[in-house]
Amino acid sequence: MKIIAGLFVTALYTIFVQNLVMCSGLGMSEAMRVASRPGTFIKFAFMISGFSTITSLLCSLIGSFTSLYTSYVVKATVYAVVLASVYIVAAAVIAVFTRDKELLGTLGIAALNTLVFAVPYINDTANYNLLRSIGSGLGAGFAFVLAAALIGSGAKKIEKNTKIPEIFKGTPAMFFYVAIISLGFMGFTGTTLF
Amino acid sequence: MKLKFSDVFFKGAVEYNPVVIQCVGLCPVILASTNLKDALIMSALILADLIINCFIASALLKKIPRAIRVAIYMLVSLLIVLPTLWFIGSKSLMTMSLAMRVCIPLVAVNSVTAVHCEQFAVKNNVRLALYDGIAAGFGVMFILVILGVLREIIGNGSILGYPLDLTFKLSGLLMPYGALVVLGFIAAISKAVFTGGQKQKPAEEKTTEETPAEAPAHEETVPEQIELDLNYVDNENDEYAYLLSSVNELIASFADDKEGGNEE
Amino acid sequence: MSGKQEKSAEGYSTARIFGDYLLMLLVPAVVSIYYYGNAALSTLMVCAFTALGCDILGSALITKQFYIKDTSAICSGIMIALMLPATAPLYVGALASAFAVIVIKVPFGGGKHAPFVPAAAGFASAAVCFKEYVFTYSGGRDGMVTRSLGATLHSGGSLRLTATTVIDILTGNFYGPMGTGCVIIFIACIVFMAIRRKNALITALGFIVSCAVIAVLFPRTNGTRLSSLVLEICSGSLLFTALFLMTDYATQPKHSINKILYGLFTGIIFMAMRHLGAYEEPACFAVLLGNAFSSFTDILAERLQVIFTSKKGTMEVKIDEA
Repeated sequence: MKIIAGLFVTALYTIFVQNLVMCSGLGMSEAMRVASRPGTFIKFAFMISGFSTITSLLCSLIGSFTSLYTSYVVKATVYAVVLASVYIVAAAVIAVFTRDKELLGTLGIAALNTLVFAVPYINDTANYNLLRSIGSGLGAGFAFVLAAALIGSGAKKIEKNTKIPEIFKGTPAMFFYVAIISLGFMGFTGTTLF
Repeated sequence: MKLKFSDVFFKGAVEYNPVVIQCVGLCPVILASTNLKDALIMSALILADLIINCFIASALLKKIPRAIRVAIYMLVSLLIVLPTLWFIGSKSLMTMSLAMRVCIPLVAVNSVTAVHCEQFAVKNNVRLALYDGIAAGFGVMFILVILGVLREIIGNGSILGYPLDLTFKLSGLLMPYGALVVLGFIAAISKAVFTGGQKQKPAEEKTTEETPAEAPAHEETVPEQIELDLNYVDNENDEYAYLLSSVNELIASFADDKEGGNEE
Repeated sequence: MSGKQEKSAEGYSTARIFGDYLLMLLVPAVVSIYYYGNAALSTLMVCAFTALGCDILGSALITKQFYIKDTSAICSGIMIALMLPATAPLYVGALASAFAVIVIKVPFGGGKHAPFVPAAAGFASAAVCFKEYVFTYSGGRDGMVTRSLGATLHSGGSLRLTATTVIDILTGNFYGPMGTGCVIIFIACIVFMAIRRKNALITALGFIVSCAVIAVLFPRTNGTRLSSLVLEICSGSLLFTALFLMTDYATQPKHSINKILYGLFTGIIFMAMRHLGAYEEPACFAVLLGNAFSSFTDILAERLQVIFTSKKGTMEVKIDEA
């Protein structure tokens, strides 16, 4: 029970208290682009969570059972190779069994982004054990979706606001909006992840 | 009509800046621009990454399926990132900020490369792809340097590590929200300068012309509605149309309440 | 929330709404000057004039329009000042006010259209940039209790609710944000608002209720639940937030159910931040998140309305255009 609670708490921390997207900018570009497709949120949540969890699990296991992590360069190489391998395997499975081109396209965005690649680093920096690493990975996907949902709702408000001066319409207003959400999340920790 | 480097450069780096107009590559920009030194290192990395990836994408990867291409971009980027890490060395790396230590490897998966390679490089010849890579790289560099200078001076009261004697420091600028606020102002200034703050009417004023096979006259063809190319699907419009896929289109996609929020 | 009308959806002119805010803010401003003297006056003036100056400048440069009756910038400046300690350097208040106007008010088309409460954003930014000044309280009149209620709660301490303590709480005789401590004033402001703009109080009510429930269920103090309730409600800027930030004209939802949910949700975030957060007084951060999540609370309110209304009209929830 305590174990599951630790996993759950880490996931909640990653989603709400220190939202990886809003508090660090990880995966923010992708969140902005996904925001216009609310129907894909669940898909992205599961894909990003899956990739983050599997990648960080494998990286943790490699670190535990080998002495490969002798330097930062080696660590970066291993993390990247693991992520690329996980992605290629997933892509191959989808290509063979479903042949869904659209899913293959979104897989690339879900797997190969700064958020997923940063999760093993975060787990390493925070010295998370295996279960907390899983919680962190699971939380990453939902943190992404929460951020995308908030950005999407902001875009709607901005679109409806006809009083925004011309020079602030579009991207500038969007940046300010996301900045203030990020400021709001700082109420929990008062600092950034890095 | 053959596109000149200056045309491509201006459009790719300034008018359709990857960061403030297209909203790609935000993560390295936010994390690595807390001081000028880190911003310069990150700029150089991203520029090199873009040039090499765009070249390889255009020269070699056109026939490769998209799903595999994106993984190749990552692995190619690693070939730039890893030597950089090795060159910096473990000791020097430990003196860098944690954000920078994490951010350097993240260049391998940054969205600027994927967007520019997929939406332009693989559809054009090597010369244009290189131009685009250089333009986008410099576009990111401009923003990183501006942010780095501002955030370090106002947020940390120093420049390149040398302390300045300021009355107060706005440490909030060193946070992600500070970077986003500054980006918002840069985007607004950019919009004011290039559009004069006037409402843009892209589709009505511009006409589509026949373009030569090799070099499309991108500046004369501006489609009315650009789909946010979520899946990097082939865009039937003009080759530079992808440069318009930005937050403006995200916002416009909510204009029709019936369609906003629906699955594709 | 249309900006096309001169009047708000409530039917009141915006000049009236912000005029009422100014009137209500005047009283805690006077009390703050009583307790903190010239320091409070200076902070109030600097914040108000900075906000006004930035508004005029922004209007001159960008919108080319300035409405003299639009006192939203001054209101934001005064709200920020009242949430700050009187001894904070003047530039802290000035920068916070400038942030509120330049980043929130002007770019989003004015105080009537901003998606976030400008005063909350300005204060939150000051809290991040100048944490050492924003939550350090000193410089009050002789006889004031020198430990703020917020600090007591933050450290898990408690306070016996004696007659003296209760009077101190009611009159704001504790160190703290310079204009948010005097409970009597806020009770009077609630009465005033109930007369002038009663529907706006629904949000404040939802906010206070959720904070009260959490204070009773999860006390931070080692005292009784009653003392936890009183301390939580009266400490920091909870009441001030409920009255002035939660009832903000632009960000407040239109319908009653939406308002209640918005208030409840923001209250929950606020109390979560008080328990888990890094800041002694996280009200503004909670308000910002409440503003961001307001679309979702609206969706939830719509779902609840669907559940409680029937096709045959046997039970209809009256939707008042608040």
